Amino acid sequence: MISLKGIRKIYQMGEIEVKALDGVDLEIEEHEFVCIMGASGSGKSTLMNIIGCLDRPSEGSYTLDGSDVSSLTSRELADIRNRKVGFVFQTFNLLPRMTAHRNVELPLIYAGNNDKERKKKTALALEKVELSDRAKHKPNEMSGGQRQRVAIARALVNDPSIIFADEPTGNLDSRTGLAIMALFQKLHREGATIVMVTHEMDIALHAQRIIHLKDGKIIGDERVKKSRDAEAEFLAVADLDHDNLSDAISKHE
Amino acid sequence: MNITEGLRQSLDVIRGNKVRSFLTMLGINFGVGCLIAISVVGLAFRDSVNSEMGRYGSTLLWVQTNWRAYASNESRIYMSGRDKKYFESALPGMISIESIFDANYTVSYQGNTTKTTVMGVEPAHFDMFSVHMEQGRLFMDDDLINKRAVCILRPDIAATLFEDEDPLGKMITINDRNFKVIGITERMGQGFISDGSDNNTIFVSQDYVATRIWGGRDIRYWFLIMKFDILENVDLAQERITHYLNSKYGKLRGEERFQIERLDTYVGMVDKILNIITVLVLVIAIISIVVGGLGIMNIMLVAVTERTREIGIRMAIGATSRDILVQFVIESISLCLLGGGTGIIFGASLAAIACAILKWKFMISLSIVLGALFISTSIGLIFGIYPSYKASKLMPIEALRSEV
Repeated sequence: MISLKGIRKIYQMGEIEVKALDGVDLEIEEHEFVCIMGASGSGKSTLMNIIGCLDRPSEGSYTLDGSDVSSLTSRELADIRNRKVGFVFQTFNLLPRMTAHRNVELPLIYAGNNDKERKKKTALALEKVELSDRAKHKPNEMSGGQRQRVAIARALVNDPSIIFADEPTGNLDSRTGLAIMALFQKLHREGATIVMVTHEMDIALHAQRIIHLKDGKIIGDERVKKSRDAEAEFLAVADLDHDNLSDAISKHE
Repeated sequence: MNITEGLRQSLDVIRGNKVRSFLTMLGINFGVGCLIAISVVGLAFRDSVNSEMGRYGSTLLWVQTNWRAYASNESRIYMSGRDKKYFESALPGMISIESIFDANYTVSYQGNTTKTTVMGVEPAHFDMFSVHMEQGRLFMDDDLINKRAVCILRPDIAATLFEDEDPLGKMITINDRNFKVIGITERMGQGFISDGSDNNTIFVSQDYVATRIWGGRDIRYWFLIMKFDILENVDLAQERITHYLNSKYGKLRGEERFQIERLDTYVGMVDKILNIITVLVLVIAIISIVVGGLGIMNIMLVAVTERTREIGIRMAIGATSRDILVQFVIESISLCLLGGGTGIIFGASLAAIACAILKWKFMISLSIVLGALFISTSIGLIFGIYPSYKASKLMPIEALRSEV
């Protein structure tokens, strides 16, 4: 599905050339759940932006679903971002003036769907992330986890074949992070291809495959023997909290 | 991105930045307001001129002794009855000809004595100058045939002479002769042309003056007014009268002894003045609109910078450059239309006040409103296109990374 060959991304910072990516070859198949790991500055976000058609490589070839991305016009790239891929960001990137419903609806507007379709698909996407009751709320009226779920609903709404997530749990506490990971795992079970960037091993172990990046090069590509189950972990943490609380606190009579 | 959606987003933005949007649209508001006001007032003015013209017809021409040509003690030349007869026979298309005679006389009623203007007029006078009666009647043929000594008073002189008494049918003395009051006119309105009378004038029949006061001598006219059927005949008349008077009386030190005036040249003059005012206001309006447009452009540039991240987000979820361009252009046009729309209301109110004060008919035409909306839209487009283009050319990833 995704095939990268000899991808380089070079930034010119005044006199100095910065090689964000330095010859990356990578294949990702349909229905995979891949994590890209690496320290800051390793090029993992750059890699994801290129795969997600947000950025263009300086060199190398990228084939997405059989079509050569470097030959596509910016209009065609926009269409790919609209229909083929969905993005989830660390900072949620919702439009603050708009309600959850409107935020989720936005990709459908750019896709040219009519009112009726938009209503139906938006409601469905919000239902998938269990936020139907928050449709009328604006981002600043919601918690971080809720905002990220709105962002996931927005990424899902056009029924994309790949979901890209850039540190989706980075701005969330670990429990909410687990809930979000559980959601990704559920989407994966339902057939989605997911490419996620993270620097936390805990999070990466929820995927099926981990790609290590260092200084713009792939230094490891491993299968996860047994992925963690975020749902179970989340429930355990939730139960633990519950038990601990009742043990630790005695009511004042 | 469709237009409804673009408008919806624009309104969101405008609502989110109320003060800024208000200040930004003020320039357009003022400019469009000026445009509307001057158009409506101009229209109302032309309408009032036209309705005056309808009353008089624009085909009036008058000839009068050119006082300026004479030295103070020089004896003046007047037109004679024969001249008047010549005009009546030689000028095609003439509908009526009228002469006015006036002089200051002592008038009195019982103990009340005063000096005022007595005007000798012909029966057509009242119609020609739109003099309406408040009480009593106009001169009738019967009065003329029987050479009755009758007069019509303007309201102020009636009040001076009669105070609370009813003047109708009473006898007043003008220059030692008795005249019977047969009518009182309405107060004078503000007509476009005047016969030179005021609210203290007394009208008497010119025929009576000629035969009784002047004792049958040939009357001398310093003023003749003629009405024609069509403008071409006014042109012709002007030419013939000039030629006739010059060849009969000659010029005086190179100056014409008589001056010929036409109502249509007066209207043209007033029109010219209005045109100058219109141009001035238009210049102000255009400057204001252009400055307003620059303000819009400035604020749109700010908006694009402020919302770089938003642009990035939109591009990341599938907006094309065109979508972004259209969105910002619609926003800019919405701002301008808001300014233009309120400007129409502002200008129309100004014009309505002006028309109410001047007693002109307030009319606003659809084409003026559509024109104003068209101008606003164009300004929004012209000044919005550059910032929008800038926004549309952002690279998605760079826009997303922006920290503004």
